[in-house]
Amino acid sequence: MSETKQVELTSKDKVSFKVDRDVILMSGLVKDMLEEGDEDETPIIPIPNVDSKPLQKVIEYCQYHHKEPAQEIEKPLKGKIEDVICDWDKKFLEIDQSLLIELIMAANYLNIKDLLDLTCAKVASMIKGKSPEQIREMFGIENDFTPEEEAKIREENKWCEEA
Amino acid sequence: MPFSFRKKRKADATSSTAEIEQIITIDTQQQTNNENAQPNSSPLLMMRGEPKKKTLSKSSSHSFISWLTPRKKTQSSQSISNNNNNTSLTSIEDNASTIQQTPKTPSTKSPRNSKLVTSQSTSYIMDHVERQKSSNFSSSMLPLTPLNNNNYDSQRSKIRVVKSEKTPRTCSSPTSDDEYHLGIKHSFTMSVISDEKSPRFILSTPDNNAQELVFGSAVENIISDYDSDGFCFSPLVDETSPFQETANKTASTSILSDDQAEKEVDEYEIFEEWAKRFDTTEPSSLSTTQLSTKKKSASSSFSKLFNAVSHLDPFIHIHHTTPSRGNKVKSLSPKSATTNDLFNDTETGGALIINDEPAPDRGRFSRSFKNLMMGKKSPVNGALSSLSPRHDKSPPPHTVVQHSRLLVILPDEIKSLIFEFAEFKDILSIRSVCKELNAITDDDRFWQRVCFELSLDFSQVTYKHLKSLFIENQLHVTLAGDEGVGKSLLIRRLSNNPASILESKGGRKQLYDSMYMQDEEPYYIYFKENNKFDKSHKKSSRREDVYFVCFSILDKKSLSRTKKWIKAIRAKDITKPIILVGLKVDLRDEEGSDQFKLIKTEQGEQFKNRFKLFSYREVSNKTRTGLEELMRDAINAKRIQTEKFYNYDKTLGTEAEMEDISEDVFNYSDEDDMDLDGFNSALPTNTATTSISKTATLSKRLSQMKINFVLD
Repeated sequence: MSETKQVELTSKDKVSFKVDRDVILMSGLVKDMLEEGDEDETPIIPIPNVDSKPLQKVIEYCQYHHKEPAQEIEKPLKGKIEDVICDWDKKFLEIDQSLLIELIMAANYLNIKDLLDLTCAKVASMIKGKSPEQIREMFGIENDFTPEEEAKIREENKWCEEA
Repeated sequence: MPFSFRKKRKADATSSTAEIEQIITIDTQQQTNNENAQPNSSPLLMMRGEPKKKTLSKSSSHSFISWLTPRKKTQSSQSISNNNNNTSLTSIEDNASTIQQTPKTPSTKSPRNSKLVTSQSTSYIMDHVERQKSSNFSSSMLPLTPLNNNNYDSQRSKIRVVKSEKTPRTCSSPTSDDEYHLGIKHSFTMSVISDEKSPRFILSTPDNNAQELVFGSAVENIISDYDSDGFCFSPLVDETSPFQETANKTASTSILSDDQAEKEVDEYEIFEEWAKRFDTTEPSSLSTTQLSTKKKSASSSFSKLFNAVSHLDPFIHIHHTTPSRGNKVKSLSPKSATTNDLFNDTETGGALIINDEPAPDRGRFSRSFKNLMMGKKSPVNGALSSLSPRHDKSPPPHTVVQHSRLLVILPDEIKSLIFEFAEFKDILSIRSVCKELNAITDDDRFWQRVCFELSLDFSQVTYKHLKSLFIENQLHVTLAGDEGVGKSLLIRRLSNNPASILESKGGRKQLYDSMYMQDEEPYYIYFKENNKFDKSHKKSSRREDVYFVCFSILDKKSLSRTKKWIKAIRAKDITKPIILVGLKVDLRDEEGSDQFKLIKTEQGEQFKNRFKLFSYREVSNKTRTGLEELMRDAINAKRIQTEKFYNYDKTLGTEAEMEDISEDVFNYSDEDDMDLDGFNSALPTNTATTSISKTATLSKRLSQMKINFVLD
């Protein structure tokens, strides 16, 4: 039966995860691969672009959400993301920034839209209400504008700040 | 012109186990020895390790980086490598007029590269894709695009990393002119300096822009600067290395003193001897630039450096390193010289201007990740794409990435997705963060999305369009009037953008925005309401373009009090257009209402004329009548104001006159208040007859006042 069917995912660092087939079908990439491939007992699917850590998170997410589809997050995000997602997701997102980014990459690669939305919304939520300086600080982005350019942009944005 | 420098750094007498002599030669010109010299400038980079001492651990293997040619294939180029299965190598070799990987025996040297150093080592190619079977080299192609590049396509350079255990080797790659960037004959040279301070790269261009980069941030810096297609390695930089402490000192010692220069000569001689010993070609081929470092301690740091390099690339599975972390040292010399010994000549150059600033961020991901994720092929080879580095050993305490360029390294598509979740104002903040993010938010699609977000109906709107809209065609409308006349509701009616209602906590001021299209021009309109003009309002610097002075036709007192509003507004800025708005006009059509109590349209018009208001409009929040006309008036008022078509001579007379008038207005208004109040209070029973008579009286009075006013 399909319930017992499992899929083995191999991360970039050669860590294998056995996952129920139904679970991992949330991933568009894996789904496509499974459809193309033969019906092995436990097909091994290499995920060469994803480390084990984010992959584990992804699987965690799939295991939870393949039964309970995630609520769609509205765009743009109103308020904090914590207000619109379920408790499980909240806990799920309690990760540090680097893992979050890896998770975004992984979700993108594996084509899991809900997870991608969730993580991206999380980042958007992190950005929310922050000044450019704060955003730079948070993400370690260097300010590469010249003072002139910066002044120009500030001018452009003035209308908004005035309001 | 030859571009050469030599550099020697003394090693600390520290406990490194081996000595390394590194000679890096960079030739921006044709190689003199090369008979097949190509017209292109050819950087030659040599590194040699001290062969005798093998005490180095594996981790201290010597690596070699040469700055190689851009990817573009030149017909003239001939691949020299003996055995090259690797496509990435071939691409380089195609480019490179000469790349020599010296065979174990000098006899096997390729005839063309007479000057290259043979390597006896058991080096192996570390190319991502596959090792070259027989080659002594290990090399991984690391494409880089030059700094300051405008043309991503044409300028792609590569770094080759050669790793070998103990043998000296050189690698040279001439570059074709056109490939090194910007249509100028440029070649980048990259030298690796290893000394007690910190390993670093020096990147330099023939026009004497030199950039010295401490390793670690260097690579990252490079990565961050370049087009994504070309990257294939990501730095893993940890903070635990000893370099960290010394990095700060690194600052700026790259200009050699004379003493150092002499010593370098010695180094050079040593190199020659060394070269002879290995039966290599004349070192004269190294005519241009040499950098040699000889140090005891250097060896360890150097090895660390290259371990770090190897660490960068996951395909190079060598992780026996202490990751190095360095501060970024950037140097740029604006010197425009065509020649030169950038490093030796301190006078001409001030060649290196070094800013000692710590690199705040260290990337953990390469942008090639993007390539992978996006399914793009790496320019050289799929194999080049590489990813996040690994921590082999126990992760240093600071592994939590606080300052990685997380947001920046994400693929644009994902960034866009993130921004889709961001609200409008946040996006404006994002625009100000850095160039890359700014560029993304410049996309018209994005702004269309913003329009959509704002419930705006502009399908074909462009960024420029919106920009002009937001910056120029914005209209700040302030509604003034007594409480209860319906201002708030009017704003809600006028605002076609319920999603963006901004209610300030003060309660009195409310902000709404709205979008109107008039004459195919979009206008972005803010509404704000004021219940009373107090001192704070007068001081307020908030932008106000047009005023709506509101009254209710049901409430005569509110009409009379509009004079106060007008007075206050004029007191603040006499030039602002004021539109008189009569609210609740739907009451006129309501059966059973007392029509006589209502203020007639004529009265409003009289007010308008008397106070030289821009216009008088009657609207109904209930039936939504007159709203469009009102907004049209508002926009016209704004337009006239901005285009300076507002002719005071026509409407208000000259400025001097205008002042008089305004004074009159104020004078009259006090009086009128009294009168109107008396009038209102004189309506005890609201009988039709009295109302009519009173109204008639009022009209007469008003017209009379108007006449007086005009006469005055």
